[in-house]
Amino acid sequence: MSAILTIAKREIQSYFASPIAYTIIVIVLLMMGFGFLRGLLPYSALFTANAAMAEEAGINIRNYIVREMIFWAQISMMLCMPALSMRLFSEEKKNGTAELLMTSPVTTTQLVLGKYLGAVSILGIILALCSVFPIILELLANPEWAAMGTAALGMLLYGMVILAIGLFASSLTENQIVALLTTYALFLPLWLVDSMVGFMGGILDEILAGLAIGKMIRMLGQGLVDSHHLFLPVFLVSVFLFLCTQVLESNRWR
Amino acid sequence: MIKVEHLSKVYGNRVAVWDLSFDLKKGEILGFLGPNGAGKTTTMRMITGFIPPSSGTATVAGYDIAEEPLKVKGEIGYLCEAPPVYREMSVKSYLKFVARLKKVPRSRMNHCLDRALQLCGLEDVAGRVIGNLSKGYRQRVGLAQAIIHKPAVLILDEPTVGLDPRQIRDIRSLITELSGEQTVILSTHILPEVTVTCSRVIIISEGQVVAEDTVEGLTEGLSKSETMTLRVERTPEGFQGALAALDQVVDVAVESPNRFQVRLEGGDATRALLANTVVRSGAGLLEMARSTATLEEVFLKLVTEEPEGEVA
Ligand SMILES: Nc1ncnc2c1ncn2[C@@H]1O[C@H](COP(=O)(O)OP(=O)(O)OP(=O)(O)O)[C@@H](O)[C@H]1O
Ligand SMILES: [Mg+2]
Repeated sequence: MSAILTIAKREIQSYFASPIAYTIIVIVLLMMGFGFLRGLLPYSALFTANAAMAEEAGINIRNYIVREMIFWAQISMMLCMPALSMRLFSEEKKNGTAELLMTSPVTTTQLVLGKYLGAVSILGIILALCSVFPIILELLANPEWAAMGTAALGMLLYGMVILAIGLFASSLTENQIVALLTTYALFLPLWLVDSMVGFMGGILDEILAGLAIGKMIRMLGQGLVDSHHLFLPVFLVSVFLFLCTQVLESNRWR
Repeated sequence: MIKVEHLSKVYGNRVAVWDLSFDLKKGEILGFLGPNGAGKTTTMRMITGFIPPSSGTATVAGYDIAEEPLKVKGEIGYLCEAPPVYREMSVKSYLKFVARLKKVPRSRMNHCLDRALQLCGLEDVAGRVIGNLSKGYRQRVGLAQAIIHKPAVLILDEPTVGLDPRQIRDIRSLITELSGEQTVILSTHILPEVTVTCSRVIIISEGQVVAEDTVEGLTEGLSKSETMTLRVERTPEGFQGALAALDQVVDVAVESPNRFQVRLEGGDATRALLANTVVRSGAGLLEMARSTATLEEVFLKLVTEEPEGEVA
């Protein structure tokens, strides 16, 4: 455990030693803030026009603001998380520090988990900063904290999936750009599959529906918690972290 | 302390190391000598567990590298070819990170850190960012990283590359100091390094051991045949042939018109005979001196005279 924390801690320090972490945090927050305003402005316009009617028509925070924010969370994290993960192993390989890690008394699993934990911590910081949005809402209306909680959970799981894929991609190459593009290439289909569901028919449709990561975060954003939607990200993260350990092990056998 | 048995590494159809065996006792310093591409780095990577061997085994401090890799890694301090440093970190925080990675207990952390900084002469730059240090200092940080947890075995891949002469001397004396309690393998293609620091030498070429001995043993082995430098006033007709015709003379090389390198066997008797022959030929002997075999000659001889054809 302490080996995992040691590696994670160094990773976090290294993120903040360069502008990467700051830039990514700012971009995600800006895009989320944009989504927040895009939801908040029409919502408050409708509400100030006729509160009773708006309530009756089902115009509430969840429908309006959270939905908008969840959309922008997906876009911003899809763009930014791969940039966060691309250097994790690629840079170590390029700088020769992989040789230090691989000849230290730590297992490959500890190494992978440490790296992953480091990147997920940055995601955690982003989500913590995102709590300004419900706090602002609290001042205006009731933000429905439970739904906000599940929305945050959805964002966390969604980001964790991308980071796991990104970690795996960076173990494949010492070129960070290649790692970045590989992450996009692997994640984009998972995200787009959502819109394909219903056209294939039969078992294929069910498989596609099962892998639709976009649906997972949307449902959680609406406060709908379903065991399948929790299982999917956990499954994807485990698979890619496992693949990552396999790649690192097999690199040594070459 | 280190026992290497029939270690081989094959990359595709390229043999990097072939059937390497040696045995190293506690406190010995082994010099691993060979030209570029000889397989020094590959061997070290196999012993440290960075890459697995294609065949063969090694044990370090009694642990097998394939069966108990984590135990082996705990016993080894390794400086790889390019110092494995994180450029954005300060020297101190980097060494702390390595110490934690190598499982140095918290209570001994400060002691180990100070010791490594002091031994490698890094006290003055402890707070500086590694990326801003000169290459030589970065190399020293690499060395500090290898010794920080007081490993039983030190494996150093070209430890003095990029250092200035004074630093080289310091590092060499540091390595000598460390032996005794630590067993050291160092690789180099600089010969004096081996003569100065090592108790034993393995010369490796194209993945194979061509010689293994103590430094003295190796130089002695060659001095059975010695080289004489000969300077004469003039060279009469057939002079060189007359020398070469002598029974115990192995080889006569012309260095400049009136200067020859004569390799001979048989010691004093042959030398007397050689002097006689020169005088009788009327060449006018100006100088005849013995050039002692340096390790450099041994090295060149062994590496270049190795019969060809066994490496695919
Ligand atoms: N990953 C690899 N893939 C293919 N061949 C390799 C690989 N690593 C090393 N080799 C080959 O193995 C041989 C030995 O290389 P090695 O790096 O061990 O030499 P070295 O003795 O350390 O040389 P130098 O003095 O230049 O450091 C070389 O022919 C090299 O080309
Ligand atoms: Mg080398």
